[in-house]
Amino acid sequence: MNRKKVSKVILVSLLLIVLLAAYGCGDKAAAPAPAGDKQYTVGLSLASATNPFYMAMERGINQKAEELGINIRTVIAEEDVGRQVNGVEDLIVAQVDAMLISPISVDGLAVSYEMANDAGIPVVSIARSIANPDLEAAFVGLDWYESGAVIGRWIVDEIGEKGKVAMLAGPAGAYMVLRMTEAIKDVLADYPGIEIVAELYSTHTKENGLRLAEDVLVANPNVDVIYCNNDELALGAVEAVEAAGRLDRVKVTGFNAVPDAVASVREGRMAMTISLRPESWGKMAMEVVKAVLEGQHEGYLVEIDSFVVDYKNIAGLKAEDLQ
Amino acid sequence: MTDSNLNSKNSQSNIGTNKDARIIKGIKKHLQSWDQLFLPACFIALLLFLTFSSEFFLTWPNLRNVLLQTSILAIVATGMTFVIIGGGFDLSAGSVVALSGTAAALAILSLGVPVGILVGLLIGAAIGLFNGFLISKMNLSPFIVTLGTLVTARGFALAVSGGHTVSNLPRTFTIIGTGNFLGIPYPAIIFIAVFVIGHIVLKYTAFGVKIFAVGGNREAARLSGIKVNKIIMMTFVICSLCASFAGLVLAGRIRAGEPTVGVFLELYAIAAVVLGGTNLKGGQGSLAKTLLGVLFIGVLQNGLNLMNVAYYWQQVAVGVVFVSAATVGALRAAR
Repeated sequence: MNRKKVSKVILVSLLLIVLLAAYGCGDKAAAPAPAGDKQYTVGLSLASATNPFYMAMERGINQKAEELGINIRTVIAEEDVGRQVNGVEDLIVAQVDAMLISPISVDGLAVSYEMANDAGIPVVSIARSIANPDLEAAFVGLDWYESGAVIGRWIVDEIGEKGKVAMLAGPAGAYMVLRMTEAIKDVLADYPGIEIVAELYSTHTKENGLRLAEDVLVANPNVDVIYCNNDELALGAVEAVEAAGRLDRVKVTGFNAVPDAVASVREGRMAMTISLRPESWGKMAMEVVKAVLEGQHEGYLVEIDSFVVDYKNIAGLKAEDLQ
Repeated sequence: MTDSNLNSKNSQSNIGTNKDARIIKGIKKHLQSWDQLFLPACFIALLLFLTFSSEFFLTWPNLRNVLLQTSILAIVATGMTFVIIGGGFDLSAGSVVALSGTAAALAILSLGVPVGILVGLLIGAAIGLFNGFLISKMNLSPFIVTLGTLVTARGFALAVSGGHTVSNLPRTFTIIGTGNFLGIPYPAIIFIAVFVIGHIVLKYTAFGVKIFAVGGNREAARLSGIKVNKIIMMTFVICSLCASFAGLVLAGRIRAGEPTVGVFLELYAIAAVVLGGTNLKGGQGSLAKTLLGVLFIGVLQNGLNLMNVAYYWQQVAVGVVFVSAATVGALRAAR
């Protein structure tokens, strides 16, 4: 055999291997239906496949779906609006009965929601929602403003009516970021002694938390609280505070209660975070989807449970409380 | 048996009788056409495989989807083909998609649709001119220059929009992304038109021939009187113009200017061009090949979604296919 032939054989066999592997990994949707019930298939489009928060949520969704005998078809957008729009179109073609979507963009996904509605497929939003609730059968999430207010009041309780707060507010423009930032500012506005010394925007990564917190600490040596819009930012900020030797004086707050953040609170490094119980969240969403499918759902917002995790209650918390 | 052995044997027998020569010529031609048919054959195999593994694949709504979903990539890849044949490549295309779409959306809201579209395209042309000037006149590496504009254009896209989505675009604009003619989506019609025009320019105009000449051997092209710098500059302008055009179509499709779209799009475009069989070294290739590469990637991604394959494995599959095709291409070129 000459090289050309060899290369062709290699390519064809690699292609076959990949497709067969894909075939093996895919189509879990072909599970047998429980007797009596109609077999539903639900299309799932989450924002990310690598964010621990969404991974836990997906675990909960899949567990509940299996319990309820519902098939799941998953497409992942990896934080790219174009990819999410494509994925939802594929789900429509695959004739799913309902969709559970965590929309990356409040406006950019409206087209997809319309297409699904036109095809007679109801869409439930999870974690994030779009600007037009008329296109959503339900939103399983939480009131971002109220969450921000909880954090704001916690800060006031901790530092009293005087102090300096820096905000690592999260990605500019995201609806959740706008609402939470607004709520915290509203709460702190009632206390003239509390000053917001920085308001910095970035995506949710540890690197950004580290870098921005370093800058904050240099510019404001006597900052009391660094509010972070999520745990990734907060974990980075904790590193910066520790490197500066000021863990005893600076309180870092997070959001989501991912396992690393809970461990950090337990070790007395991060001051507080808010548990959103992503796995239970996913389970709850599947129950809502089932109700929608059976025409038994009413109302729009289905609020999830969230609670503060801080040094005061961490000792009493068990792993399952946070799932 | 190695290739060189084979070649020398062929040339030896060529000295033989006329009949022998004709037969061998026939075989050679046959082999060459096999070469040309290799990727199409793989593509047809993929289509057959998907037809049998998903009941939804070979339906009009899905084929319509594939056309719609590949349109943005296809328009970007068209421009990328010009740059690559001319011996360069452009990493900034994805960011230009985002910047043009966002800036055009903002301009549309304040100045109206025609001005907005013009703004989007002008931004693309300006970035292309900037890239092309530094690369040809200042002799900088395309990698460095376009990496710089990749970051800068993304920054501008976020800055002009304040990181926000620019929504509430008028229907007269969004129709280019959401409308259809006889059931065929406008984005698909647009990408086919862009392809046809690009193909004619590359293949049947003096300008097209010059691009091949410059990409093949810059020095020889210069000596034969071609204005090499101008040609290189033009290829970058075409690439950025295509990217900004794709940005407009995408903004129409999602009915919003979104500063975060198009990340890695340039890499998929380069992958589509190379997958089709165009050499990254320049001087060779065609838009027909690129079209095949684009459809291959589009169908693969769509098929994997229909088969409910996990995202991670989709990435692996696309990567493996790409590297395998590049390997085959390299072996072919070495022959």
